[in-house]
Amino acid sequence: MKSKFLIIIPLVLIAFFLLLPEPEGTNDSASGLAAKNSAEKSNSSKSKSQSTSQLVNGDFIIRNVQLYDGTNRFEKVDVLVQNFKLAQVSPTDTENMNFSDSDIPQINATGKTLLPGLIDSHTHAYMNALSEALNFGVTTELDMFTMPEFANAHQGKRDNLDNTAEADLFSATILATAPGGHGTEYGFEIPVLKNASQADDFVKQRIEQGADYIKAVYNSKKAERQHFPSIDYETIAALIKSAHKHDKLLVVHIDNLISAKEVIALGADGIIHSFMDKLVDQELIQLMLDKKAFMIATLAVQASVTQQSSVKELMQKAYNSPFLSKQQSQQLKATFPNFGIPAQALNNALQSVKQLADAGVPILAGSDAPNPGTTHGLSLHAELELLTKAGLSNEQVLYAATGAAGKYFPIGDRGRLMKDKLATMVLVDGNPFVNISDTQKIERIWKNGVEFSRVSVENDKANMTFNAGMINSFDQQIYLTKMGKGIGETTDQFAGGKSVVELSLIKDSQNFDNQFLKVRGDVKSGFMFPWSGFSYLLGENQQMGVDLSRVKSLRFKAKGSPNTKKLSVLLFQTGSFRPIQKDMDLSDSWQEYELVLSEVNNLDTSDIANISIVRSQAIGEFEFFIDELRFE
Amino acid sequence: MMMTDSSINLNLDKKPSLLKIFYLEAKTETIRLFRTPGFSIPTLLFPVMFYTFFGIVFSMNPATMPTYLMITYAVFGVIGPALFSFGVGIAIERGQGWFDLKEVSPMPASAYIVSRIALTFIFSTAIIVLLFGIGAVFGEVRLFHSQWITLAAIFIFGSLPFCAIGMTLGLYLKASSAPATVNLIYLPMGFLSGLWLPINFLPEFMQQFANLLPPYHLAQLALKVTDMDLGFPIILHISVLAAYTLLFVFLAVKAYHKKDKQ
Repeated sequence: MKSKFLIIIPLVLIAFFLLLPEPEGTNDSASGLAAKNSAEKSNSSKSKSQSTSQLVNGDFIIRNVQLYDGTNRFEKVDVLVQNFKLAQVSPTDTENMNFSDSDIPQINATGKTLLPGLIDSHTHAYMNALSEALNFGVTTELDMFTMPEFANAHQGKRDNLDNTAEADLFSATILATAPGGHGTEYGFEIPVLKNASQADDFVKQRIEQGADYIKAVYNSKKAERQHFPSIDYETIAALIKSAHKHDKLLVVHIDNLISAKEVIALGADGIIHSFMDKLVDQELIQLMLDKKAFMIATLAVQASVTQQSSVKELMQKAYNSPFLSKQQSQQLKATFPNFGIPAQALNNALQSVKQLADAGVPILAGSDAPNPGTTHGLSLHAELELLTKAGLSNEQVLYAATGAAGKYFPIGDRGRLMKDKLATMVLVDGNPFVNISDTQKIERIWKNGVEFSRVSVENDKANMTFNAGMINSFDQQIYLTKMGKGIGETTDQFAGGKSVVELSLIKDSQNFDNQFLKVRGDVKSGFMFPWSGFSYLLGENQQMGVDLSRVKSLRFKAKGSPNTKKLSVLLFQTGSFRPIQKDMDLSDSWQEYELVLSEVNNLDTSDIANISIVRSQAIGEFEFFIDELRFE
Repeated sequence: MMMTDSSINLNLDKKPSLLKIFYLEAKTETIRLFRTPGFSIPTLLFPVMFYTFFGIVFSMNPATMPTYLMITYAVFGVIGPALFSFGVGIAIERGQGWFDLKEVSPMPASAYIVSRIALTFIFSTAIIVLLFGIGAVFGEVRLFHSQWITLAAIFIFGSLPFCAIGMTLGLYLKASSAPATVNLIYLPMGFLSGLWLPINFLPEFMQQFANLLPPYHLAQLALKVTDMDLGFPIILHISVLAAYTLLFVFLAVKAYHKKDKQ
């Protein structure tokens, strides 16, 4: 009895300790992740210099706004956001609330419209896709084929509250196609399906690799155009069966009516692309209604394929052009080779979408960016214009890019604005119910209740070139530099954090002519991923990069106090959200540090906007010293 | 006193097992203390109540305060039983003559000390479990398992210097004045060491003063686990704690012999 007692108590204690909660994301090196996120934050917030008005985060009221919550439209309501969540969205909640004496920020939005963060239901996400998307109010991307490495890195972040610098990603990862079929032409080695017996394993592998749903490419043997090899009827049937067995949606890329009918009859959840070979017929409409299947119309890419894209006009608009990166402009200017598809084909696609929508088949808006002539973000707005052109009502079109995607894809509450849910939304000037292009007149974007400051890029100016030389020896002063705009404090206060920093010059006790920079501060956790330190702005502002290709390395002397054993150097490319981070160990005696720019992976040395030296590894007070900051 | 425990048989031929003596003494002491609400309730309740108050309900910074104060109140929590069970306990037992009775009993003196240390550990564990539980559930404290366990170990073994301090106090103080005196040492020392509020909330000169106080060093040692300390070397904190332990063990031995001569 007694000995039992002696065993049970330690066991209970062990169980207790095992039950104690661990931080999220323990698989990644947690601190590394934190630092990375904080760095991303730092960049997005620093682009603030571009925005004319104060960023409004966390708690605020939007007054007198026309609200579209993803299904319903309300005229002139007040929307309250508290603690990053929508505290009240519909007029019925308003009665009990008295905002007038509240001291939280208020935004008068008379004549403006608040929409849920937009959802692009068909993209291919890689590189800066997700930040480019968010820059145009697209807060969620449903990827339809990308490499699992990219997808997984971003899928993991989408439920993080602090994932406010890029759109959330859902992905099919690798698509299901035949050897030599559509999807294999991009030069990636991807698994392909030879026959139906491989279908179940294929689906399982995709799910293991993190696919949120399955995408297949199918072209019926009966179709007139046989431009690519395709998986056969039995294989697509097996894929659909297997996906459903594993509780995953399966959507199929088709480009003709007969293929659409076959896959819908087999139970595919949706078809991708409004086919262009024929007009939709009653048989398919009825099939889709019976099977409750949806269509992801991708009129933007189809306009481009048929050489009828009007996206260049959108690019010129004053409310779009400043926010397009060089890469996005290149993508939009690119064209498909002329496949000889008749111009009439696009009309088929437009009319079919209209007929399907009228019959009650759900239509989702997808851009298929970044195919030639399309890009992340802006092309969803182009898609909305085209859907309107097809004849859908503006309300149907807005639903296609918000509530509909949220209804048919397993993406949580995204696409809707609901009480007690995160405030991920876009405020646009004007009324997209009257003029759909008003969705492009973006005034503010919030992701998870945090306002995202749109990044604009001055594309046309050639970058200034810097040569090797002293940046600041810190012998006279802190803020002015021999080249570049200068040095300034940087902390997470930009993003609503509470970290503080103080820069001062200290005289060398041995040599009074020599002074060095003391960076003293306190990294506080008011903000999820705090940072504090100083930044060196190379160009006139955050959007103007400098060419450092003639410079070999960044060098400086540094030492740390006993409580400051690590530092991060953050290198920001112009207009990029993601600094490249280099961590270094400090000691309590002066040491020379060298960062060879050519050895930094993925760094375009011809276009660097900002170099920051910050403390972000740990909460608490810190103190470090920097001297002789220079390029060599 | 009734010997109801069936495991005791009075077979005097056998040499008594030291372990068994330790166990029995610790067990009876534990039962006695749990039955002394004047001891068990404040020592368990104070840290928990203060922590809930300052660390959770009125937390100034929900991201770090619950973690920081969970650690400092755990330090506050574990030094309580050490000071009280040794300090007040010994003083009162001396006043009642119970201490002398135990001294003349065949029980080795080590059993007396070991049982009280065991007792301190048991109470420390209870406090740690309570604070960790509250921190994790209400304060959303998230630490790696290695951190939780390292912290618990630091707290439990960190109570040893305070056992030494308590023992010295118990041997010097009179039974009537012991509870008040120990409280007068315990509470201000906890506050001045930054256990109630983060140390950097205190004025500079008080922070300097905290360097002299052992709870400050134990707290800094524990805060290192979550990288929330002020950044002084570990060896400094351990040395100060070790020095205090040696000093007070020495004083306690001196007091014990002095008492004998009286």
